[in-house]
Amino acid sequence: MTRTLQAAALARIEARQLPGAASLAALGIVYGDIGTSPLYGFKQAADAAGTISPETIIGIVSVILWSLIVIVSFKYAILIMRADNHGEGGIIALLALLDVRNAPAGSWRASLLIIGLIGAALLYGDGVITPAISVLGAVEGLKLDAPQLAPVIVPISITILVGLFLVQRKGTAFIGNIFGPVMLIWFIAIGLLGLRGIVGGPGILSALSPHHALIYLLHAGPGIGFAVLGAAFLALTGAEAMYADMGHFGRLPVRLGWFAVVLPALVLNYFGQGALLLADPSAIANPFYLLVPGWLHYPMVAFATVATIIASQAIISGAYSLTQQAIQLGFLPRMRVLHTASHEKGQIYMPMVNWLLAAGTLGAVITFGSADALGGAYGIAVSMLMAVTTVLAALVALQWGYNPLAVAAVNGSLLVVELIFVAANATKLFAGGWFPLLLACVVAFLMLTWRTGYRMLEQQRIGMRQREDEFVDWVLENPPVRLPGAAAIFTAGSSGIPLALTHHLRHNRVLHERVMLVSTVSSEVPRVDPDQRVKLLPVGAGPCISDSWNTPMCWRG
Amino acid sequence: MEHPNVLEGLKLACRDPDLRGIDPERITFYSRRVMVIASGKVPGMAVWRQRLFAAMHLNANLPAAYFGVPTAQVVEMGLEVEI
Repeated sequence: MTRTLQAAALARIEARQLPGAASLAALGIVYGDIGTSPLYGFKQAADAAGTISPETIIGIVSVILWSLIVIVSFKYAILIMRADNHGEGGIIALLALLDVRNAPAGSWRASLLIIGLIGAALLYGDGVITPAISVLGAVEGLKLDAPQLAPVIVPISITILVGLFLVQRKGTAFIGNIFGPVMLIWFIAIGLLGLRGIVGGPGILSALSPHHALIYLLHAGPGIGFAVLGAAFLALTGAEAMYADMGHFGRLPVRLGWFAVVLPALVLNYFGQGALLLADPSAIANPFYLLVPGWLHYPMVAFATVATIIASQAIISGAYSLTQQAIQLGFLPRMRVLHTASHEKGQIYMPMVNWLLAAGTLGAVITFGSADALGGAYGIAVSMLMAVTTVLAALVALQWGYNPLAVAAVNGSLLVVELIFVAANATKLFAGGWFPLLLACVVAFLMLTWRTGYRMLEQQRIGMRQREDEFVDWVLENPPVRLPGAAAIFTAGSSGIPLALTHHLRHNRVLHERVMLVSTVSSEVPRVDPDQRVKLLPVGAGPCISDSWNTPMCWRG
Repeated sequence: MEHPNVLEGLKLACRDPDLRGIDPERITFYSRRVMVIASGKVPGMAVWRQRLFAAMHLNANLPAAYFGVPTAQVVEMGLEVEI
């Protein structure tokens, strides 16, 4: 999956830090998800292929390699990451770049907001699955040496996940610093393991040529071809995080991390798994763990579990910031936000999101019970989201004045590839794909209900609100008792007297000497200069209301 | 990433000459607690969805807490709005 903007959940990496240091930090957050895909991705694709012939193995490895190059490296690392909104990325940033929020109702731009809403809903759908499939995939390593442990895999996974959701309340800043170095060691380890496999079966290197991927897919027939593509897609899930987290780490560090560490490590590992399978088809039982020498087996299970916990943490933090953005866009009601570390503004915890996510994730573990079964549920929402991103990015590129032909050619071909992946994943609908889609539908429905309901409520409230001048006149005619001190009243609208004030005056018949009307305005700019955060506008400075101000302000941390 | 903090904002605002003398820690915040009544009065959504909205609204966080105002400085007003 899966996250738009990690930025809220984590402190921003200072710009003065070296790109290397920021890249290291990014390894722990951005690449946790895609970096733990080798645990289950290749196995799922090989399973989907049915028969294990050398052509099949080379074809699958080639499909994974070229998908990583085309979709992750070319589309995300090179193309999409150019579309930043003052440094921030993610689907919400794309909507901001298209100026969707200020679009007149009913225009095509306004309808893009609905696309964004669906994109956000899809993110939740997959956000529930990622921790489940990764942790299960890691813990299933226990089965290889000790098949009798099979019944405890689900309970162990549940214990780990429950623990993870429980510690959110305390904040994770205290361990956040080690995420990057741990993941660096993880990538080095899986790269070396892959290398070890390749040395044992160098024939796999012919998968470097893309024609093996094409020939295999063409010869496999549509049924198996789609099944393999749908499973191979699991190797790409997590790529959206590169774009979503860009604002947090910076473009260069994220790119550096991908091309210098993650891509080589993943490619080596997938090739190693393929080479192992070429040499010994029975390794299909668990090609990732069978690459590991026997004596290192248990340590590797523990290490993989740690890596998947890190990946899950990134997704949970991502869900918090996605929710904050959805609230900001008016898709969801405001929810309780707790700051777990007062000195680090970015560390937040949202109890409601945490427990809903926990329920969904544990539900997924219990419903599906194994990484293989969850593989059927995973991918459909991510692939749809990727296609949405490509379309929105094309609109941004057009807005920026790129040659429409070039945009159509580049984004058009990417969209074709991604739609093939959507179709391939759609074949998994009954194998579990319904699960994230059902969740996404529920979330999208709640968001639409909230959005429409809130508009109705606003419409009614505006009708009930007094105009400022009427209010001032009314206060002048019926002077209330004035209290020393100042009062502030929240107002959502930019005009009219908030109902709370009229209500207060009607019942208490008193008014503070100074009354401020406070409203907040979100800005499309991620960070607002402190001098420009607060604006004071006089409302009705009649003799009675000595200071009455409207204070729209932008406040972004 | 946005996180509104009105109290911090008002501290900035109180540096303005027009607002001199206001102690941000002693401002009384009036906030409303809106009870939404789903009645089907406003067209555009079925009454059962309006009820769902009303339930979501009931659970929505109070604006004061969301905007970073200490609860001890808040006075709440009850309001009914029919939709």
